[in-house]
Amino acid sequence: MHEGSIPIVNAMSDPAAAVPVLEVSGLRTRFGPLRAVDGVSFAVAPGETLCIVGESGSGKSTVALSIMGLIPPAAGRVEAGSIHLAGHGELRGLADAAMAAIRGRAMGMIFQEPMTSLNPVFKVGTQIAEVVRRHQGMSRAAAHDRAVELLRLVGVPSPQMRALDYPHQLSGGMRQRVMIAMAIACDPMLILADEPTTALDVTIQAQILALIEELKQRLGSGIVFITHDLRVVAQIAQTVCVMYAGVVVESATTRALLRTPLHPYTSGLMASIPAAQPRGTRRRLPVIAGTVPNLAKLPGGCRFRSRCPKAFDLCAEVEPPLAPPAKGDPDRLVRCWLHADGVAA
Amino acid sequence: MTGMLAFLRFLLGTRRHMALLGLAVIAVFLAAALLAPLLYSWPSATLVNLGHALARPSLAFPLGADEMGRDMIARLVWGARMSLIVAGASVGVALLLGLLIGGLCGYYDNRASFITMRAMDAIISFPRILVAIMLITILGPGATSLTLAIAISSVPVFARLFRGPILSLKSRDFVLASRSLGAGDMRLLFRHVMPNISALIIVQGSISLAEAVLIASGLSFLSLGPQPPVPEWGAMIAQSRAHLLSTPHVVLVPGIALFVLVLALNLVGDGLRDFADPKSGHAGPRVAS
Repeated sequence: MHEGSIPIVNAMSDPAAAVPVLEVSGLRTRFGPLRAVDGVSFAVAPGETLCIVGESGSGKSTVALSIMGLIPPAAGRVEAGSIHLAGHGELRGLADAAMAAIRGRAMGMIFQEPMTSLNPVFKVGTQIAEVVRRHQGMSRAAAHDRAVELLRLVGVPSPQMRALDYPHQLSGGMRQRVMIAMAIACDPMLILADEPTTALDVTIQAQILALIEELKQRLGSGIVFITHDLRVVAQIAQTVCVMYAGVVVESATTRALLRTPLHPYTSGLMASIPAAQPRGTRRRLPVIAGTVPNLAKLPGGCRFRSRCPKAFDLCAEVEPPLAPPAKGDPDRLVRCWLHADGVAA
Repeated sequence: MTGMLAFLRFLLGTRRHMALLGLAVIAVFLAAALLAPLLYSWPSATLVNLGHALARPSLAFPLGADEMGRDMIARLVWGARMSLIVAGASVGVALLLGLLIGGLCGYYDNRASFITMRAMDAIISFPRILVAIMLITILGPGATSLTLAIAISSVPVFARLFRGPILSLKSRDFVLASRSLGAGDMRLLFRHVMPNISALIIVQGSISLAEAVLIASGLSFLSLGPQPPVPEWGAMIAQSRAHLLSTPHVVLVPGIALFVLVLALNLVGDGLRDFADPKSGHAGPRVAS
């Protein structure tokens, strides 16, 4: 519960890494009595992909919406913490108009549902052109040319013709490419991707992941990629934050996390990835029993303990801090008593 | 323009002859209204000439003359101009205000919009014609106040009709996506959300035109519209009704014109509604649910 005082670990252990593009610390977002995000801190360097992993209800999408300032005011609000975007300073508390000028220009977001995220009554070229016209004051003709160029950049075949299509004339993968074109239209330094491949089939998913990787190389942006799929994490992320019930339970470099998951929740997630198995050796896919606890009335102690196979007395009494593990890599963080200093495991 | 062509192709393709007929009738009335000053001089429609009073249809007076000896066809054409201007302007004003109120009340679902919508409900609970009569009593009779009265009395209907779809559209993913790209509230509402109900606006506007023509004539019949000697169909019927039995044409001519125009507007409105209906299975504009 002392996230504010915990040093932010930039798990990308590159000392030459520039100032982080995005620094989030102690972020708390509430929906009425629901503490959806309860003290989350992380940082993203330019050219880095940070994955936020967790199951539904862990608060990972709320983190992205909080950064964008898109939490609907009628439903909830960002209560505490700081969101620092390089070159724009503190985003929390910015006026609506100032925030709108940053959205789409300094940071872009890609959504989960490409089928419904485009306006059905406008041509996709017009929709892309509108973004550059708004932020860069381009003329109508110049903006249209830029839209075609962006469509080519995101790998849409015959972009000149596709720019004149309406969203319903495009497939899901193509629409997601259009959404990506809109998000990167103004070369944002930060891209937030909220499960951008979840609604797509596997081959398209691989193409979109490759595209996002390629664009990151080209633009040098930092990416916050939200997913529940650890296989996606393995493909694209340098750093991972595992979220559970509104808090980060483990954060590390992708390599370290996938090789030796420390938190029992992370281990559970990894064990429940289905793998191809030879005939005759089929076994039941392990699952993490239970569901995410009710965020409106969390019991004391560790949030994961009711589902944790290794829970012991202390877990029910005090919530473990997010801290470097007692043994092992001091660059990673874990929120578990099993790995805390001076506590017998 | 391309929309108009697509509509024509739809009507031809699905053999909606009645709507096509309605379109043709409206075209004739529209042409007459536009060309009225070229076809018949204003004095020929308004100057009293008792020598020709109640003349039967003839070569000189194709539709006869009224009890003041004025050429019926000149009055009919100038009356069409009046009816279409009043109906068009009132529906235009009502659509603008209705979209503004319905749009804002749908987009901002707060206390102020709740109060506004209950006020709309209160106005709807009175018969429209009563609201219009009340407004004309305040404004004084005439073409302008007639237009305003019809417009204001139909605003609540439009506001309520447009609020529903706006309310459901604003929670769609593409609105959040546009917001994430830096669109502000007003741009979202008027540039992103409202175009999604353009088909609904067109259909409702066309159907409301017929109603506006009818109400305008009804109010003029009660001498709440443009004052004599300005030709208006409802007023023409009212002035000549004493001669209904002796020389029926003086009442029948404006009456039939009114009937035909309203019928034509309704037929075209029905055609437009089918055109915009996604279930009709063609590539026309869509009304968002």
